[in-house]
Amino acid sequence: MEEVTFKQSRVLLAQTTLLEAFQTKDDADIDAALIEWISISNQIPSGHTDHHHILASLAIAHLLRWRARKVFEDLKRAISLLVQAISVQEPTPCRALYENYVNLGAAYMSQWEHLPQDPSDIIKALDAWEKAYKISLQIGRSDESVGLSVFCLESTYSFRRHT
Amino acid sequence: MILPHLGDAYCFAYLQKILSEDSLPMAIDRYGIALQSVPAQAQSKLQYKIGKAYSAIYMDKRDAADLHSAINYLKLSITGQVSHEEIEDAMMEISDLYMCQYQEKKAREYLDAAIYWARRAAHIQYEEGLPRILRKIASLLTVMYKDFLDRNSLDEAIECYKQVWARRETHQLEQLSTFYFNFATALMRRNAILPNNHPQKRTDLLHAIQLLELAVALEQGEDNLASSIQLKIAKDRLAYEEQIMSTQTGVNHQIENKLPDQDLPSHYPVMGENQPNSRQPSFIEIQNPPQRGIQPPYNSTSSSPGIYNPGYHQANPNILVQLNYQPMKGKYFFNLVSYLITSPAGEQSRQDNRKDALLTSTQASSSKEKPEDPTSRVPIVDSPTEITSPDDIKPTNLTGRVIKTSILPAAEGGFSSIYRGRFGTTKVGKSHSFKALRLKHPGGD
Repeated sequence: MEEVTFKQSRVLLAQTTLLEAFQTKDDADIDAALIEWISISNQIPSGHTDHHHILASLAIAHLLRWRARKVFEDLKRAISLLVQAISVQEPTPCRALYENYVNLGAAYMSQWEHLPQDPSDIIKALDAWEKAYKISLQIGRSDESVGLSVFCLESTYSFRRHT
Repeated sequence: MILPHLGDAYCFAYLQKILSEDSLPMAIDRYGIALQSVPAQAQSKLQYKIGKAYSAIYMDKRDAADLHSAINYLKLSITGQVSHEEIEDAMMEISDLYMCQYQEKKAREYLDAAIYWARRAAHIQYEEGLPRILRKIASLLTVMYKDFLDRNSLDEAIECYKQVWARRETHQLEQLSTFYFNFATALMRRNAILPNNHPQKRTDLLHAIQLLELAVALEQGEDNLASSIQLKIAKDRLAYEEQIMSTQTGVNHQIENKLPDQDLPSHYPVMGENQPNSRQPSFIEIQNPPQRGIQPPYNSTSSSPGIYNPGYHQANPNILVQLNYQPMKGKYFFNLVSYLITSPAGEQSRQDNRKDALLTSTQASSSKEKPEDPTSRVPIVDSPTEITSPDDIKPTNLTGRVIKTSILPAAEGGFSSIYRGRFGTTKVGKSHSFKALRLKHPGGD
């Protein structure tokens, strides 16, 4: 059995806190998850193979706090992290890429709703979701429910939790 | 599933005008793919969205195929699991679409269908939206009265307005002054066709005056022009009727400016068997609409060529519509689309009524110059069906005189003159009044 390293155990712990925050939606849990993922992201070098996972998880934590407290900086940071995660990710269709595009589209729509004077966010959301849809066809998840999502825009758009 | 969200985003893009006109077909495509893979209980929501998208496309392009698709999908959606609000909205959308068809084809079955679906919407247990639906029903019934001289429709329209009136303190009424104006105008229409000795005649007029006073008080500045004119007309008419009554009975009737104390029904039987328009239209019997005939001055709404429509801007009919009814503004997509679609039909009554009021603006202004203008005291036609077409009156039937009063203000270039006259017709043996437009062409009159 492979030994779990200290870093791996920290990531597992951070995943747990994120899951807890996702489920409880409690401010303290969200803050705890955010602190954990910020700490991990500072320790993982940008060239690491799991870097995009860290970025995506941190983005989810920011999105959770955005939904809870409506601090716009969280939304902007989440979009930036998701764009960065997608850019460092292999373009090969996979579930992680699909979820990042889904969340990025939802984040753009949320940003448009917050700043409706800039409708270009809708185009960005459409672009992200179209890519997500194409990936879903390739990985056989086009029919998958997004029921495990964090609802944001008046129950219309959703953030998928990165697993 | 990402597809419904994609469809929604395309719809938002359409509303924001940031994509080409293909955005709605793209939305329908995405919804349609999703429709094939969702369970039956989840299909209604998508059918509703597809219907709304087709409806919006139809409003843009006026392609009958889109209209039929919209109606079909919306009808499918109301049988499934969607919210009361969405069912009501779907039914009102169907009503609007049939109204559009009616406006294009002028066949009565489409107006019947529009009324039928609006009535069905009133049955949805969505109390919050009921006043809006009742106002829509009243608006459609008013069209039924104006276009087909269906007296029952006018009575029903007034009953609908009374239902709204009864809810004015418990519900948030949008565009309250518009409601007062339309309600008052409907009462004035009925006043105009009731016989002089009918007890309801005076009550309607008093109620109309009070409503118009409320409308004038609510509106500011130029916005109350139509209401002010209509109020003056109503008061003039009341004075005239009282003068007639005084002549006949010797009793001096003073204006009692109070609302009639009548018990309003708790709920209007919108689908009762005794309602003439409660049946679902069969689309089998197509009745030829009767000719409009010559209307009393206060009901002059015909836009037929050659019939005088004073104050109605021939080149731009919308120029007189100053108050836009925007009940859904500020809400998100589907309500916005709803506004875009419901507005033309929903505002029909308001626009027509505004038109009616301004149609008579020349009469009001001329009465300032000539308080004794004989045409402002034209007897009301007891039964407007006696003359069903202007063709029924031949020059040889007419007696009376015509005077030129002014230039039609809305007709640019001064080619049109206003003539007022009082005629009798030997054909029916009664006096009628009408207004005529004398057009001067380059080659002669």
